[in-house]
Amino acid sequence: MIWLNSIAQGILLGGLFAMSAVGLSIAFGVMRIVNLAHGDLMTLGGYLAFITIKYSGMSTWYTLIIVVPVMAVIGYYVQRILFQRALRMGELAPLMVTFGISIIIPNAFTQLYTNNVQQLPVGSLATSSIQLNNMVSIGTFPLLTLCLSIILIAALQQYMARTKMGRYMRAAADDSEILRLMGVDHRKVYGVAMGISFATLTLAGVLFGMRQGGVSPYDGHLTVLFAFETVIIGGLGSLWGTVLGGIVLGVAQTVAGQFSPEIPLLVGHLVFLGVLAFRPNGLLGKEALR
Amino acid sequence: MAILEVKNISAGYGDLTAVSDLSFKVEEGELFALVGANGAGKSTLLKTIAGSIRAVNGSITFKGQDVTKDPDFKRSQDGIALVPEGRRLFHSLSVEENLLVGAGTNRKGPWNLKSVYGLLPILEKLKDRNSARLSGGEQQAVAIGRALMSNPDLILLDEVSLGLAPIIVEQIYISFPDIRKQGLSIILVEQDLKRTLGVADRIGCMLEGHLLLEGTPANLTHQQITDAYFGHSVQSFDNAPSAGGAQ
Amino acid sequence: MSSVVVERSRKKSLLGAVFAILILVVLIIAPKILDQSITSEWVKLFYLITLASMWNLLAGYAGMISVGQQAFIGLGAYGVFVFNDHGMSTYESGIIATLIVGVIAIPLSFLAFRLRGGYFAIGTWVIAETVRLIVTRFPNLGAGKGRSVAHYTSAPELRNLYTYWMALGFLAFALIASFTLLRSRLGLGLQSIRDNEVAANSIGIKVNWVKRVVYVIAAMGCAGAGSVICVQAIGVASPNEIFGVGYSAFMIFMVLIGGLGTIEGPVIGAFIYYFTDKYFSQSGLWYLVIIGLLAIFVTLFFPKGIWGEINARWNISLFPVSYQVVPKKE
Repeated sequence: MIWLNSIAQGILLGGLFAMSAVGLSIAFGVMRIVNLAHGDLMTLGGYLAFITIKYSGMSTWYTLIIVVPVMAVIGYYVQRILFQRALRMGELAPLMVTFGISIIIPNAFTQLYTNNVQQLPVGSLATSSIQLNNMVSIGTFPLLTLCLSIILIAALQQYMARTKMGRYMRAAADDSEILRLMGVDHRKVYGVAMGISFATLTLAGVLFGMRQGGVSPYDGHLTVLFAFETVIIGGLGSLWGTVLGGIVLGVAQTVAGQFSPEIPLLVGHLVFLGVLAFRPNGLLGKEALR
Repeated sequence: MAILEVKNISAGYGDLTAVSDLSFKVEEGELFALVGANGAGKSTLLKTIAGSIRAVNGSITFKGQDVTKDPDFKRSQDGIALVPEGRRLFHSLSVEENLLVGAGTNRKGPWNLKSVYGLLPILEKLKDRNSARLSGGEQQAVAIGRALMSNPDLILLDEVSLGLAPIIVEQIYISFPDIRKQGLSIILVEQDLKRTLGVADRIGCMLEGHLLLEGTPANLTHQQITDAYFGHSVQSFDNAPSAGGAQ
Repeated sequence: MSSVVVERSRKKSLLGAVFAILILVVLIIAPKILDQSITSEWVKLFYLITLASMWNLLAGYAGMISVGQQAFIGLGAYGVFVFNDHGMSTYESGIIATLIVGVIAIPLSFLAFRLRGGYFAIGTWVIAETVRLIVTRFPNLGAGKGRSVAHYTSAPELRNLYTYWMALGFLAFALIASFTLLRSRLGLGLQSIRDNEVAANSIGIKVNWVKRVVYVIAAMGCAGAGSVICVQAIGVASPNEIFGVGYSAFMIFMVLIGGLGTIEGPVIGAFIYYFTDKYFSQSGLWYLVIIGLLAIFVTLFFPKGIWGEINARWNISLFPVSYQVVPKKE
């Protein structure tokens, strides 16, 4: 029965992993950019929330209203000014640029705010929970995160399928040169896609921070690996695959934690490597990785 | 009034010059056919007019404005539409979605989903089918429909009959009069001389980046065109530019 | 009847080879001539050049961007403990560890090659993290706290001398391996893979096999460097540091600044990093922020790096690896 609780916790954690992976998927799906700084940008989002709390005293939940749009705008301009230029220089350049960012962010924040964890309080939700039966208890905050995750992914799915900009993004992924011949500046489409990527990763970053009790400078070097593993386990090209991938990774970590608190990370990585070895297209993959 | 005027255009890919010092005009409402062997530079010329390729020299004037420095998406918004070689549909999108993206120029005009489906009814039947799962002829119809959706003033058709069965090509050519009814100007690049002579108002023949021959189907003989096509030494005649042929 | 020939400057490369041998001899005898406090400084420079060349081999020639070489650096370092505990000298341990890491790299390559491009990069990062987590499970290796070398040469001058020669030895291995690899038929295959993998495959180049050879050599070079780091410090202070992605950051910085895809570039980049680290690392972490900014700047505005620009402008190449079409001499 302890296992059931573990699995439940794993599923809830998986929701958070899935949310963090969505941004990575969009950046790769539309622009073929693998953002090595993805996790560090989540950390940046967390720090922005922390700073907003410090200067305004508002609750963490309300900071999202400011921080998510701000990061979306930052994402649009980072794409237009920085990444677009890198894309022109070949396949290696965006990796170098994003890797550079992943060195700058943690070191800058360590200098500015030390290595300590900066608090992102959850408030009253932190301890409230729903008792399913006498063994399984679902924390309200993780449950909320899972629901938010599913809503977000469903919304994005609809956005990509039905809106004009969503169509442009899918068209840009297929053939950006021809999209330009239809009168659409593909750089703007890329900008919007990166804006969405930054917005979703910020939401995930703040929620992660809330879950961990706060944000610290090097969190990003861990969360980028989780996001990436989630995408690969689930399979490229499938947003719902990301949910499945997140759940698999989440359950692997939490169940491993039952054996020993020292091995969740290791087991997660081993499960990922196992999927890579035996099912390289992921569980629901539509595109090949090669 | 010339809707398009190309003056001394040179363009190419890196070190390779595909179009050299080329000049010609397209009158409003006319169908100008561009023929020539593979590698003559026809596709490059169309891409340069559409803006996908930057001209190294020369100027392009469209509807009286100099568009030489304009990027491709701006030229499209001004009214130039290219149906590219190889169709190049968006393979993740359905037929209807491809058409809707074509309307990205937001130009006003007679072409919308309803009228395009009216012209090419097969598209309506296939509208929710993923565009990667169409036959060559069906894809070509989508590509043409998609270009029409942008409500262009000038449409550039690059080898629309390549790889298609004659009966399909027939159907595409049958739709031309309806397309031109609204006053649309067309540059048609083709390898099939016979069909071309049947629809063109004027013909230009390219070889190795140069425009060798220009005239109307009435005053150009089949022999003259074939000679220019293959680069045989061209006998002097009224409407050949002084470039002559290469051996 | 042709008026051109394809050649690879035999005269120039002969000059280059003589030059290299001279330098090697000078370096070997240097600690006997110069004061040891000077030459032991060079150990760091030697392993930096080693690391830079290995990263360059992967990325510049085979098109594989790795941010996980620290896996092998750490394994090289910890390998010293494993064999040293069983009685071998630290230097022998380093060499054996390097060879063993070469073997370990083979199955790892099968995993890593499931991925391409940016995903390959993160994959190497995951592998590095996995290796770190496994190694730090072992209490006899110090677990999460690091440990020191059990049996080392106690006389400091001898220790410095042997460590110096060990570092020089691995450096020579790295540079010679790079150079030979690239000048061989394998090397030509390698460059064609970098340029266009699909096309290379279609003309019969065994793409995966070639990439695997490079991956293994790079792993060994990094392991060698790692063993030197451990031997010089007589231990590992922090497993998080030796297995840290920071090493990847420095390698990338060195190669980008010096010149990706040239043999001389990583050497120059290593020198530059060595000196900036010497004088600026006391400024705290802003120094690392600047390194990150510089890496971005160089990628976008000076992608060829210092040697790449020099090479392009004046066509100098100390260690030529590419063929050229030249007019036939009458």
